Amino acid sequence: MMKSLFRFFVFLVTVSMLPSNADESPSEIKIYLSTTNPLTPLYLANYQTDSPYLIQLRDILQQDLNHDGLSSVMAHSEEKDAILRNENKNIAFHHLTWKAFGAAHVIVSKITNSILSISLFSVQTQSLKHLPPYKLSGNIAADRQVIHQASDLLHKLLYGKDGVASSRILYCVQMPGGSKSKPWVSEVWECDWDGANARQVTAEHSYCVTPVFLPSSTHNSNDRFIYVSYKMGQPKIYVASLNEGLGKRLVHLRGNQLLPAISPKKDKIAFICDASGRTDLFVQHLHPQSGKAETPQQLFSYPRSTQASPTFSPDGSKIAFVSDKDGSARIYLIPSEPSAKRAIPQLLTKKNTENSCPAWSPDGKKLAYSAKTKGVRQIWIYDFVTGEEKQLTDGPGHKENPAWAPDSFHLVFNSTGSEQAELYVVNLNQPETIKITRGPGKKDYPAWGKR
Amino acid sequence: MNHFTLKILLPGFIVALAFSSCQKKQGTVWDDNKTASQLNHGGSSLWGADGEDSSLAGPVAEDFIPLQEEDLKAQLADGAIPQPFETPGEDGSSLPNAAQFHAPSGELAAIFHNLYFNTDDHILRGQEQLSMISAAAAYLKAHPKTFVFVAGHCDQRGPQAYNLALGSRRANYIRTLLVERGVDPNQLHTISYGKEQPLDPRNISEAWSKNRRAEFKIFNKS
Repeated sequence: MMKSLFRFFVFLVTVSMLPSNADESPSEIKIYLSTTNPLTPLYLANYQTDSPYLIQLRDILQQDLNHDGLSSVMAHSEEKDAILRNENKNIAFHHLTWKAFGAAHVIVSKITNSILSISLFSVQTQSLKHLPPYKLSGNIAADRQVIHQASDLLHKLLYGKDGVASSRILYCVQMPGGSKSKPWVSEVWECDWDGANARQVTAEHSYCVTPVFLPSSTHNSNDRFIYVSYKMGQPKIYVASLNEGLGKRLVHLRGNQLLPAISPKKDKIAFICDASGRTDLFVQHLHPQSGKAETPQQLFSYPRSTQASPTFSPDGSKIAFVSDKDGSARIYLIPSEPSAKRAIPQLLTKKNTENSCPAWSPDGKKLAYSAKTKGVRQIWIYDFVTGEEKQLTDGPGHKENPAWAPDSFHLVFNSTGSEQAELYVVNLNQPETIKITRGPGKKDYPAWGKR
Repeated sequence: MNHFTLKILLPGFIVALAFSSCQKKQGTVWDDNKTASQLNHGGSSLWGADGEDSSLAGPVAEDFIPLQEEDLKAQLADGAIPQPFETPGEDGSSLPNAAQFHAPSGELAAIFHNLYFNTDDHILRGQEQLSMISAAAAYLKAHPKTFVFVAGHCDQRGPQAYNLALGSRRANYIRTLLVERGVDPNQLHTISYGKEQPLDPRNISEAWSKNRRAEFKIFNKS
């Protein structure tokens, strides 16, 4: 009975959120709630402004907070805004007033002479904090970043964790190539976590796929990435900076090199390669600082089988990858250090068939992957702590290529269809998915990195 | 090659390999690009040193360290003919980029037509398709300056990333069949497009069957 009531509640929450934003949660994608942590209610005060620009900035802040996985922004009311306009702070921020409204925190932002100031009142502790002032430029792309930074600082103050509002997503956009010799081209693009500020990074007029961020050795931004390009004909692995987008060859091997993954310490790259004539898993040691490469090594090969999609554990000692060596494609674990004899891989995913595209979470506790579920590819989560596999998404429409945000809590994935593919963001605590891409072209192979 | 010769030559080869490997490590990859001229495309084999079917292996491994597993040495049975060292289109290559290989036309169109696979399969079914392989092999043996790209494709239903790998497996299987019939492995290159380039974008069984294919692109070296 309780289970049924809970499911009904989840359904109500899901449905009630659908119409709120045209870009959110297309009805075909639903999320199974694997956790039910309650969201913290925040009240975000309205500016007193008619400026569409300032209202847009406020909406960006609201969206950041509403989708951080831990907060729920309360509905606006003139009554609450009027209280906050009171110049007597003891009245504006009286804890009993806000407790009665059901708010755990109150956020007030003001913009004076292009300076954004934000105050955070915590009802329980009755403390009022002021964030450092932010200078706005009037350029929406730049000011979006300012709002995202403020949002992440608020997240840190509220929950003691880094937010992902300032992060960025790499992905590919496939478009018609306009010629018979190049019927399709695919380039690497970059956007903010919410899909805004989308811009093309590579301009190879070729076919680029599967970009992944190069880990930053200083915990700063991810400003380089590796990817596969067909610009030489055969797919090869390249490295490029986000500023220039000019690919430099990273792996020098014959044949096809596909599906690269790089260890978090930047000391190994794993990829799929057919240099031997089989479709094998390879690993290559790299110098973490210079990228100087050692001789590649065949890490896993098996007669009459296909290997695909390696992903490193956070400490770099293990690789999860896809193999069909035992029949249907499933995900296996193997040590990442090669030896003359291949290691015996450990079967990880057992619930479903046609498992693909595993992605190891940065905290090491989870593996996201796609699996065929009642005929549809859905995103699943393997929990390394419990050994359980849980379905995250539901509904029609294939979903593939999940990639974790740096917080190990948000995921981006792409839908796949013969004519349309878009990116969606979801977190593990909210039933809402956000469609973050729009416009022409098929968008796929997302990767999530720091800015 | 007898045992004595192997004992004398193998250590020397390994030392030479180590030096050539060091040559490739000049510079930094994060900052500088390596050129193909830095690569040493030699002709010895680590697998060949074990004396396993080296005559069938075609180009041999020295640009990577292979696993030493018995079950990986049955090359032809498993579609495992190492790729040519030469990457078409790379600096120093005598062959152009795959984009300049052309779709077979005229008499070649009748020989090098598309081959089709079952779902999630890399094996050719049906005598007709195997006969085509034999005809293609005969042509390539008679025309050693003709070079071929075998492109492996998948239908739209499989997972995107996995299909990139499956396309490679299909292309390599076709390549192996041709080598098995006497074609020089250096005439044959492979490329995988996964499901990225369907011939027929419709979401019906007929279209899927057309898209699970191997295609040939030809280049004649004058």
